[in-house]
Amino acid sequence: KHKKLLLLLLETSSRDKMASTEVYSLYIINKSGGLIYQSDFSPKAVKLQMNDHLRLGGIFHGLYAITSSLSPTAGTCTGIQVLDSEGFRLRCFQTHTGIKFFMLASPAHPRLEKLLNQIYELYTDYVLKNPFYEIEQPIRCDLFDMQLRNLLKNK
Amino acid sequence: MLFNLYIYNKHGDCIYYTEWNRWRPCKSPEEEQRLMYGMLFSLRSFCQKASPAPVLAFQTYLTSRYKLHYFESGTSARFVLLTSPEIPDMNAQLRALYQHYADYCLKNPLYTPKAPIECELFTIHLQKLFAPYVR
Repeated sequence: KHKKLLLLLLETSSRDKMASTEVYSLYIINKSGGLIYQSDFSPKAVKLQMNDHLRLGGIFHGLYAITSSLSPTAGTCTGIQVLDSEGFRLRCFQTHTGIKFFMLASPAHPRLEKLLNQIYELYTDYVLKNPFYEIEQPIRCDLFDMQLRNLLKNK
Repeated sequence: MLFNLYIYNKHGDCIYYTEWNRWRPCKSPEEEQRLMYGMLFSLRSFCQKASPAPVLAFQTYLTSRYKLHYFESGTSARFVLLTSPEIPDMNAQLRALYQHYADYCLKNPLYTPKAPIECELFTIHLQKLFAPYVR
Protein backbone atom coordinates (compact mmCIF):
# COMPACT_ATOMS: atom_id res chain seq x y z
CA LYS A 1 0.00 0.00 0.00
CA HIS A 2 2.84 2.40 0.88
CA LYS A 3 4.61 1.48 -2.34
CA LYS A 4 1.47 2.35 -4.30
CA LEU A 5 1.22 5.72 -2.57
CA LEU A 6 4.86 6.46 -3.30
CA LEU A 7 4.43 5.53 -6.95
CA LEU A 8 1.36 7.75 -7.19
CA LEU A 9 3.23 10.67 -5.64
CA LEU A 10 6.14 10.22 -8.03
CA GLU A 11 3.76 10.00 -10.95
CA THR A 12 1.86 13.18 -10.08
CA SER A 13 5.03 15.14 -9.40
CA SER A 14 6.54 14.07 -12.71
CA ARG A 15 3.28 14.86 -14.49
CA ASP A 16 3.34 18.34 -12.99
CA LYS A 17 6.87 18.84 -14.21
CA MET A 18 5.88 17.71 -17.68
CA ALA A 19 2.88 20.07 -17.74
CA SER A 20 5.22 22.81 -16.43
CA THR A 21 2.70 24.64 -14.29
CA GLU A 22 3.86 28.12 -13.58
CA VAL A 23 2.51 31.26 -12.03
CA TYR A 24 3.03 34.30 -14.23
CA SER A 25 1.79 37.26 -12.20
CA LEU A 26 -0.35 38.46 -9.32
CA TYR A 27 -2.61 41.51 -9.10
CA ILE A 28 -4.34 42.87 -6.02
CA ILE A 29 -7.23 45.29 -6.51
CA ASN A 30 -8.88 47.35 -3.79
CA LYS A 31 -12.60 47.90 -3.28
CA SER A 32 -12.80 50.80 -5.72
CA GLY A 33 -10.97 49.01 -8.52
CA GLY A 34 -7.55 50.58 -8.02
CA LEU A 35 -4.47 48.42 -8.35
CA ILE A 36 -2.64 48.17 -5.05
CA TYR A 37 -0.13 45.46 -5.87
CA GLN A 38 1.29 43.88 -9.00
CA SER A 39 4.18 41.50 -9.38
CA ASP A 40 5.56 39.11 -11.99
CA PHE A 41 6.88 35.72 -10.95
CA SER A 42 8.04 34.30 -14.23
CA PRO A 43 10.05 35.51 -17.22
CA LYS A 44 7.10 34.32 -19.31
CA ALA A 45 4.77 36.98 -17.89
CA VAL A 46 3.77 39.76 -20.27
CA LYS A 47 6.01 42.79 -19.80
CA LEU A 48 3.83 45.86 -19.48
CA GLN A 49 4.25 49.42 -18.25
CA MET A 50 2.79 50.40 -14.89
CA ASN A 51 0.00 52.26 -16.69
CA ASP A 52 -1.00 49.10 -18.54
CA HIS A 53 -1.06 47.14 -15.29
CA LEU A 54 -3.30 49.79 -13.76
CA ARG A 55 -5.57 49.61 -16.77
CA LEU A 56 -5.77 45.80 -16.67
CA GLY A 57 -6.62 45.92 -13.00
CA GLY A 58 -9.38 48.45 -13.55
CA ILE A 59 -10.79 46.56 -16.53
CA PHE A 60 -10.91 43.34 -14.56
CA HIS A 61 -12.64 45.07 -11.66
CA GLY A 62 -15.39 46.26 -14.03
CA LEU A 63 -15.66 42.89 -15.77
CA TYR A 64 -16.01 41.14 -12.43
CA ALA A 65 -18.98 43.35 -11.56
CA ILE A 66 -20.67 42.91 -14.94
CA THR A 67 -20.25 39.14 -15.05
CA SER A 68 -21.81 38.98 -11.62
CA SER A 69 -24.89 40.85 -12.86
CA LEU A 70 -25.23 38.81 -16.07
CA SER A 71 -26.09 35.63 -14.20
CA PRO A 72 -29.08 33.81 -15.75
CA THR A 73 -30.05 32.24 -12.42
CA ALA A 74 -31.63 33.70 -9.32
CA GLY A 75 -29.53 34.32 -6.25
CA THR A 76 -26.27 36.19 -5.78
CA CYS A 77 -23.55 35.30 -8.20
CA THR A 78 -19.86 36.07 -7.90
CA GLY A 79 -17.94 37.46 -10.84
CA ILE A 80 -15.32 35.58 -12.83
CA GLN A 81 -13.56 33.03 -10.64
CA VAL A 82 -11.69 31.06 -13.29
CA LEU A 83 -10.98 32.16 -16.84
CA ASP A 84 -9.50 29.66 -19.26
CA SER A 85 -7.75 30.75 -22.40
CA GLU A 86 -5.24 29.05 -24.69
CA GLY A 87 -2.38 31.14 -23.38
CA PHE A 88 -3.12 31.33 -19.65
CA ARG A 89 -5.46 30.57 -16.79
CA LEU A 90 -6.74 33.35 -14.55
CA ARG A 91 -8.01 32.64 -11.07
CA CYS A 92 -9.67 35.34 -8.98
CA PHE A 93 -10.53 35.43 -5.33
CA GLN A 94 -12.62 38.21 -3.79
CA THR A 95 -12.53 38.62 -0.03
CA HIS A 96 -15.52 39.60 2.07
CA THR A 97 -14.02 43.08 2.32
CA GLY A 98 -14.08 43.56 -1.46
CA ILE A 99 -10.34 43.11 -2.15
CA LYS A 100 -9.70 41.05 -5.27
CA PHE A 101 -6.64 38.84 -5.71
CA PHE A 102 -6.18 37.59 -9.24
CA MET A 103 -3.43 35.52 -10.67
CA LEU A 104 -2.35 34.71 -14.21
CA ALA A 105 -0.74 31.31 -14.65
CA SER A 106 -0.06 28.63 -17.22
CA PRO A 107 -3.14 26.99 -18.78
CA ALA A 108 -4.94 24.38 -16.63
CA HIS A 109 -2.83 25.12 -13.55
CA PRO A 110 -4.40 22.91 -10.82
CA ARG A 111 -3.36 24.64 -7.60
CA LEU A 112 -4.32 28.27 -8.09
CA GLU A 113 -7.14 28.28 -5.55
CA LYS A 114 -4.88 26.96 -2.81
CA LEU A 115 -2.14 29.43 -3.75
CA LEU A 116 -4.53 32.35 -3.64
CA ASN A 117 -5.74 31.33 -0.19
CA GLN A 118 -2.14 31.19 1.01
CA ILE A 119 -1.45 34.59 -0.54
CA TYR A 120 -4.47 35.99 1.31
CA GLU A 121 -3.00 34.68 4.56
CA LEU A 122 0.31 36.40 3.77
CA TYR A 123 -1.63 39.59 2.99
CA THR A 124 -3.36 39.54 6.38
CA ASP A 125 -0.11 38.78 8.20
CA TYR A 126 2.40 41.05 6.48
CA VAL A 127 0.27 43.86 5.08
CA LEU A 128 -2.78 44.35 7.29
CA LYS A 129 -0.86 43.83 10.51
CA ASN A 130 1.78 46.32 9.41
CA PRO A 131 1.08 49.47 11.44
CA PHE A 132 2.43 51.73 8.69
CA TYR A 133 0.13 50.35 6.02
CA GLU A 134 -3.03 52.27 5.11
CA ILE A 135 -5.91 50.12 3.92
CA GLU A 136 -6.78 50.41 0.20
CA GLN A 137 -3.45 52.10 -0.56
CA PRO A 138 -0.65 50.63 -2.73
CA ILE A 139 1.22 47.90 -0.88
CA ARG A 140 4.87 48.63 -0.16
CA CYS A 141 5.78 46.04 2.45
CA ASP A 142 9.13 44.30 2.00
CA LEU A 143 8.24 41.33 4.17
CA PHE A 144 5.14 40.68 2.04
CA ASP A 145 7.23 40.73 -1.17
CA MET A 146 9.77 38.38 0.36
CA GLN A 147 7.20 35.91 1.62
CA LEU A 148 5.39 35.97 -1.73
CA ARG A 149 8.56 35.17 -3.63
CA ASN A 150 9.28 32.31 -1.24
CA LEU A 151 5.80 30.94 -1.67
CA LEU A 152 5.66 31.22 -5.45
CA LYS A 153 9.18 30.01 -6.23
CA ASN A 154 8.75 27.04 -8.63
CA LYS A 155 4.98 26.92 -8.30
CA MET B 1 -28.08 22.23 -17.57
CA LEU B 2 -28.08 24.88 -20.26
CA PHE B 3 -29.31 28.40 -19.58
CA ASN B 4 -29.14 30.42 -22.77
CA LEU B 5 -27.31 30.96 -26.05
CA TYR B 6 -26.39 34.16 -27.90
CA ILE B 7 -25.00 34.45 -31.42
CA TYR B 8 -23.46 37.75 -32.50
CA ASN B 9 -22.27 38.88 -35.88
CA LYS B 10 -19.05 40.78 -36.31
CA HIS B 11 -20.75 44.16 -35.90
CA GLY B 12 -21.99 43.26 -32.44
CA ASP B 13 -25.65 42.70 -33.27
CA CYS B 14 -27.28 39.72 -31.63
CA ILE B 15 -28.54 37.65 -34.55
CA TYR B 16 -29.88 34.76 -32.50
CA TYR B 17 -30.94 34.22 -28.91
CA THR B 18 -32.54 31.20 -27.30
CA GLU B 19 -33.05 30.11 -23.71
CA TRP B 20 -33.75 26.82 -22.04
CA ASN B 21 -33.75 27.18 -18.28
CA ARG B 22 -33.62 30.81 -17.37
CA TRP B 23 -34.66 31.52 -13.79
CA ARG B 24 -34.00 35.19 -13.47
CA PRO B 25 -36.43 37.30 -15.48
CA CYS B 26 -34.89 39.86 -17.76
CA LYS B 27 -36.48 43.29 -18.11
CA SER B 28 -35.04 44.10 -21.49
CA PRO B 29 -33.50 41.32 -23.60
CA GLU B 30 -32.06 43.85 -26.05
CA GLU B 31 -30.22 45.69 -23.32
CA GLU B 32 -28.89 42.47 -21.88
CA GLN B 33 -27.68 41.33 -25.29
CA ARG B 34 -25.83 44.59 -25.77
CA LEU B 35 -24.34 44.38 -22.28
CA MET B 36 -23.22 40.82 -22.95
CA TYR B 37 -21.54 41.85 -26.20
CA GLY B 38 -19.81 44.81 -24.58
CA MET B 39 -18.59 42.64 -21.73
CA LEU B 40 -17.24 40.01 -24.12
CA PHE B 41 -15.54 42.67 -26.21
CA SER B 42 -13.72 44.04 -23.15
CA LEU B 43 -12.91 40.57 -21.87
CA ARG B 44 -11.50 39.62 -25.25
CA SER B 45 -9.19 42.62 -25.33
CA PHE B 46 -8.20 41.93 -21.69
CA CYS B 47 -7.18 38.37 -22.66
CA GLN B 48 -5.17 39.61 -25.59
CA LYS B 49 -3.27 42.07 -23.41
CA ALA B 50 -2.73 39.74 -20.45
CA SER B 51 -1.67 36.64 -22.34
CA PRO B 52 2.04 35.84 -22.79
CA ALA B 53 1.29 33.95 -26.01
CA PRO B 54 -0.80 35.68 -28.71
CA VAL B 55 -4.42 34.53 -28.32
CA LEU B 56 -7.69 35.42 -29.95
CA ALA B 57 -9.78 35.41 -26.77
CA PHE B 58 -10.69 32.81 -24.18
CA GLN B 59 -12.56 29.50 -24.06
CA THR B 60 -14.60 29.57 -20.89
CA TYR B 61 -15.04 31.44 -17.67
CA LEU B 62 -16.59 30.20 -14.47
CA THR B 63 -18.53 32.03 -11.77
CA SER B 64 -20.28 30.62 -8.73
CA ARG B 65 -23.61 30.28 -10.57
CA TYR B 66 -22.82 29.79 -14.27
CA LYS B 67 -20.15 28.99 -16.80
CA LEU B 68 -19.83 30.87 -20.05
CA HIS B 69 -18.46 29.09 -23.13
CA TYR B 70 -17.22 31.27 -25.96
CA PHE B 71 -16.34 30.46 -29.55
CA GLU B 72 -15.30 32.95 -32.18
CA SER B 73 -15.15 31.96 -35.82
CA GLY B 74 -12.60 33.17 -38.33
CA THR B 75 -15.21 35.62 -39.65
CA SER B 76 -15.82 37.06 -36.15
CA ALA B 77 -19.19 35.41 -35.63
CA ARG B 78 -19.40 34.88 -31.87
CA PHE B 79 -21.20 31.96 -30.20
CA VAL B 80 -21.84 32.36 -26.47
CA LEU B 81 -23.36 29.62 -24.34
CA LEU B 82 -24.22 29.93 -20.64
CA THR B 83 -24.49 26.71 -18.69
CA SER B 84 -24.48 25.52 -15.11
CA PRO B 85 -21.00 25.43 -13.54
CA GLU B 86 -20.31 21.68 -13.72
CA ILE B 87 -20.71 21.30 -17.50
CA PRO B 88 -17.27 20.65 -19.10
CA ASP B 89 -15.93 22.58 -22.05
CA MET B 90 -18.47 22.89 -24.87
CA ASN B 91 -16.05 24.09 -27.52
CA ALA B 92 -16.73 21.08 -29.76
CA GLN B 93 -20.49 21.67 -29.62
CA LEU B 94 -20.07 25.35 -30.43
CA ARG B 95 -17.89 24.45 -33.38
CA ALA B 96 -20.59 22.04 -34.57
CA LEU B 97 -23.11 24.85 -34.17
CA TYR B 98 -20.93 27.08 -36.31
CA GLN B 99 -20.93 24.32 -38.92
CA HIS B 100 -24.74 24.29 -38.79
CA TYR B 101 -24.78 28.08 -39.10
CA ALA B 102 -22.60 27.81 -42.20
CA ASP B 103 -24.72 25.04 -43.68
CA TYR B 104 -28.26 26.21 -42.91
CA CYS B 105 -27.98 29.99 -42.71
CA LEU B 106 -25.14 31.16 -44.88
CA LYS B 107 -26.00 28.74 -47.67
CA ASN B 108 -29.67 29.68 -47.43
CA PRO B 109 -30.39 31.97 -50.41
CA LEU B 110 -33.21 33.71 -48.54
CA TYR B 111 -31.02 34.66 -45.60
CA THR B 112 -29.05 37.88 -45.62
CA PRO B 113 -25.81 37.58 -43.66
CA LYS B 114 -25.67 39.64 -40.45
CA ALA B 115 -29.46 39.76 -40.20
CA PRO B 116 -31.36 38.03 -37.36
CA ILE B 117 -31.49 34.29 -38.01
CA GLU B 118 -34.91 32.92 -38.93
CA CYS B 119 -33.94 29.66 -40.63
CA GLU B 120 -36.03 26.73 -39.47
CA LEU B 121 -33.48 24.06 -40.36
CA PHE B 122 -30.86 25.86 -38.28
CA THR B 123 -33.15 25.98 -35.25
CA ILE B 124 -34.02 22.30 -35.59
CA HIS B 125 -30.39 21.24 -35.76
CA LEU B 126 -29.44 23.56 -32.91
CA GLN B 127 -32.05 22.02 -30.59
CA LYS B 128 -30.95 18.53 -31.63
CA LEU B 129 -27.31 19.37 -30.94
CA PHE B 130 -27.98 20.67 -27.43
CA ALA B 131 -30.79 18.30 -26.44
CA PRO B 132 -28.55 15.93 -24.38
CA TYR B 133 -27.31 18.81 -22.20
CA VAL B 134 -30.48 20.82 -21.58
CA ARG B 135 -31.48 19.22 -18.28
